[in-house]
Amino acid sequence: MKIWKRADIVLLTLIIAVGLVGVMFQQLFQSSADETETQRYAVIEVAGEEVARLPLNENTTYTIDREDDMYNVVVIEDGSVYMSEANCPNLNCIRQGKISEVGVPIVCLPHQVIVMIVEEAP
Amino acid sequence: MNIRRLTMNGLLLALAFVFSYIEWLLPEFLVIPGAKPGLANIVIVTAMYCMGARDALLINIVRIVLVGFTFGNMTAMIFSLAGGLLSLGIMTVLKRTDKLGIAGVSIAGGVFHNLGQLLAAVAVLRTAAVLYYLPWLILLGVAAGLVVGVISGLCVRALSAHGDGTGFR
Repeated sequence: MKIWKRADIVLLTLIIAVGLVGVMFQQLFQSSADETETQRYAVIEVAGEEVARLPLNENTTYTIDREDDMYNVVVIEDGSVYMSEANCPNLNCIRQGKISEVGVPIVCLPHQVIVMIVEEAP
Repeated sequence: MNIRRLTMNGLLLALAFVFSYIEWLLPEFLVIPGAKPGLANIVIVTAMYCMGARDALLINIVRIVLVGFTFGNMTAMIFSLAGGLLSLGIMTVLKRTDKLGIAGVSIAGGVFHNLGQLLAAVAVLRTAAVLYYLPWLILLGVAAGLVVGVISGLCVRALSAHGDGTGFR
């Protein structure tokens, strides 16, 4: 049984190329979005439904309360958003830290919560 | 199932379980939620080559359920199943075509493991916004699959050198 064959190298190179092109596209998209003068909002969705849309230029705290005592606390502070508190099993959402870019989400899978930043004309 | 196969599957399951435990102890070092190297897949890939796809599937499903109940939660278990089943399915097909070596099969497995999890995330969150992670997950999947594949390849080679040359079947 061979560990490496010629086709393996081709596959490896191809997949890495696809991944890198994807990352590059994302970076380009992000930097072009930065230059526009629009109002930014933090959109909070629970199981695909929008529950709040908060402007990023106002410091606020929003608590997502779900049935079965599930909660996540979203904080907006100086133009960035983070999860300050939650009772999900792995606390991944808190560990994802602050976001301030369009496209980068904060995800809490156990609670089906996603927080993302969108831009809109004021 | 003969006794030899039963014993081997039991041993491999225990080994895979220990790998999952070690991984659970490690701190998460990446910002992508739940990104892990997938050490237990060394056992799964080795089992796939030395015992066959059916045994690898059996070991993986029992491992995921056991790990889910011991260290994880329902969400983690669903995600592991989504990734594990898609990955093993793709690897079985690729192994059958006999075009790729163990490394290539494992690399494809790593990428599809992450794709499966991402699709599960899209289904759970009912939003495509998580596709933001796609390129990163492809790259991480390649890296994990590469490491797992090379180690598995060395294991398969070492195991095949013993006994009747058919691994431990």
